[in-house]
Amino acid sequence: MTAGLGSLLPLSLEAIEARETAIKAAYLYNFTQFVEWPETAFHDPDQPFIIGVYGPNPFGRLLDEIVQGQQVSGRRIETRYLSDTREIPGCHILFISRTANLTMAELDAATAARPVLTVSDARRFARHGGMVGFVTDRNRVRFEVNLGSARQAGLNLSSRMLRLAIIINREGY
Amino acid sequence: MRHPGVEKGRRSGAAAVAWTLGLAFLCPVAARAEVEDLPSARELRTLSLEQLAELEVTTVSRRVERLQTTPAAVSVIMPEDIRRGGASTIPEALRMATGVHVARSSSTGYAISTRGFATTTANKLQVVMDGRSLYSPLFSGVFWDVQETLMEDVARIEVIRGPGATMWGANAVNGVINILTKDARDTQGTLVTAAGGVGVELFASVRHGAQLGENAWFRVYARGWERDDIVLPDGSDPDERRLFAQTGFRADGAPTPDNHWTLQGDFYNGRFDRMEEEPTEVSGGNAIGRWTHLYDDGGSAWIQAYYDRTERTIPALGAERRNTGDLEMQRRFFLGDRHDFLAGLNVRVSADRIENTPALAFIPARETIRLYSAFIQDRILLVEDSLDLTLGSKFEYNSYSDFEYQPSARISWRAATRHTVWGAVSRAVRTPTRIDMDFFSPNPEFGELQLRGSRNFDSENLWAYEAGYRLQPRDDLTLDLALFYHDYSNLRSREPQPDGGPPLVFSNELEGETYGFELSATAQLSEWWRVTGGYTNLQKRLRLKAGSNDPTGGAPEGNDPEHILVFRSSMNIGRAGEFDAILRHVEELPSPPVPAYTELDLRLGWRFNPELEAAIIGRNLLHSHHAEFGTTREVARTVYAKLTWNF
Repeated sequence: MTAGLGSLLPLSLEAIEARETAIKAAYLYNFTQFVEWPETAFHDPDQPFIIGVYGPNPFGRLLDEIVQGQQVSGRRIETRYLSDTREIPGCHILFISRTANLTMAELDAATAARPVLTVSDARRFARHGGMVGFVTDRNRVRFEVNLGSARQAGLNLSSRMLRLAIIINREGY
Repeated sequence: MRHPGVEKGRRSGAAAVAWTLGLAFLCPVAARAEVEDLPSARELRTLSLEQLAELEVTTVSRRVERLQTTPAAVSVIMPEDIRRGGASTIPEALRMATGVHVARSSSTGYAISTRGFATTTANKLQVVMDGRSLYSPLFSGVFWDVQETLMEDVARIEVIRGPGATMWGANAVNGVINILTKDARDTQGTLVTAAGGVGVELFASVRHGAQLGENAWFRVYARGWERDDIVLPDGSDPDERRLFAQTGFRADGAPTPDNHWTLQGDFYNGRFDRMEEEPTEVSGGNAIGRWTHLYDDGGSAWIQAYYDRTERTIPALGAERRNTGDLEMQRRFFLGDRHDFLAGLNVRVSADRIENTPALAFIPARETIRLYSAFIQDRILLVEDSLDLTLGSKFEYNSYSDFEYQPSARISWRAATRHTVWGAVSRAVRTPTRIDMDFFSPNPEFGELQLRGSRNFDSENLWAYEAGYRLQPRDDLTLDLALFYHDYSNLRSREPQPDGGPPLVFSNELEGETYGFELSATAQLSEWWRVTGGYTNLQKRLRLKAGSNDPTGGAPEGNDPEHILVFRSSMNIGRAGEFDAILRHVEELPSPPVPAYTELDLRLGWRFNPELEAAIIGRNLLHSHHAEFGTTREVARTVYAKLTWNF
């Protein structure tokens, strides 16, 4: 991102990116409320719900602040910042940063057979098999959903979420 | 009171929160902060999925918030404006900015100016693209027909009316146009556009961007078109087809978060047919390198070097080949809590070689112009969140003129949360160029001189007094008013010989005042309909100094309309449709006379999905052709279809 230094004015593209990131963080929190995880996702009733961020953390402390004190289905929501793929299976939602060094194949291997909702703002994430991909469309942050991938992981996305999504790959639904 | 984020019929908490959010976004920002206030976590948490899907990433009010305290008359053209306005060239994009007079004079000629003095060799406007000066020292103007880039990769165009801030130096007398292209990181993937129709015979571009390692990105593009949209006053076709192709690249890298480098370059080639003459050939290229460093305290430094080459051959009229090298650096630093300094140094060397013809000549035919400049500016925070004063000056020395200084004082007062008043006093200078000093018409070896330049030509001067008022009475309505009074001296005139006969010699015997105002307003009439209006009023009182015998009375120096009105409407139809309109009215030009005209551009767009978009664009639809500048050519109606595929 340019630091707006070519500009004559105090306009900053960093500020625009910050706003985009804030909207994505809010979406991640919302997804906890509108996606159903199978029983196998939790091994005991006290286990917290984990949102993991893999790769460079674009949210700063914002994601922590949004989920602080919040719950989903009686479970505390916690955040984790990962740099090791071995920690991925422990997450319920995994956000992969656009600049993370992770291929789709590595992601598939790490999440294999685990009900992890994979979300990213990497280009064409949903079209390459990721479950939820953020896109910017007409100056708004929207999301593409790959239903086939979500179903394979045993995840059930609510109709309210699907109504707002751009659905890629209905196969299986 | 409607806010775009609220579903109709939903009362209670949601509406209150959204309204509060709107207010929170508009909270005053401390003068030093570069990053705007973000919604708090608590606020974000309360937004529903539907509300998140409707939140705009960049809002008009947000943009205005950033511009709110700028002590200058500014318009910014954003990528959405370019896309919705169907602008396929930079001049077309500039038509949308309030206060810019864009007039087409011929198939390749444009008269683009702000605050008067429009000519095809308009010399009072500084134009810069990614830090590279676009104006030619030949006549201190811009050859607009070769200033091209991929319009989809334009990050924004800033137009500052009036003396262009201390930073931009000489020849930024009436305004500055600053064109910025997107960082390579923001143009990843492949973009293909194709268009064709009447007037735009064929147009195609391809761009591909990819990552170059962990912290570097690049893009390459190629663009080519064939256009034929100019007719003779009687409507017949002069067969002045233009062919143009350009290719280029840009790479950006951030090896650490505090350091950023950019490398970019372009290369173009074109051929413009002329009626009953051999075609004009143009070619050129540039390479720019830049390094930026951010300091922990918020300060920054950058250094940039570029090389630019242009060649233009107009058979029977002349040819110019120019090589320019430029080195510039700027440093921004803070002193205490109240001083925000910006300082810079610039060296530019421009060497030309001109092929003279019997019709006109530059003598000497080869010249190297050197320009050295420095500037310093201090933005002083007088009252936190409320009052700041910017003082600065640029100092210049170039091969043609003596040392010039251009001081400026600007004050910005945030009278209330959504009201800003600003004022400015500045001095600006237009230094002599080759055409003022070395121009001969016809070539003295071939005939009796009619018009020539003079090495005694002085810089033109301006003292500008400006004031402005910006307000945002509601979330969805913004108003921006700028007033100006320009006092010019030593403007260019043409003096006959003592016996009254030829040749006329360029001299500085014209002076006078211009004054007027520019008003722009943007309103979000509903969730799917936004309108923007811009009105420009210009009064000119120029006169020759006592003792001047200029037979033209100074008329060639600027042919300007008293009023310009531009009205834009953007409507979203359903989820995928777009209907856009630009209506403009330009009052008559005095000399040579061009009647007032009103014209309309329309665009009907359809976004099949985030990757594929189609549009039908019609320009200048109200008349089959109309004159904008000069009496020999008119702009014809054009209609074309465009497809954009982004994957």
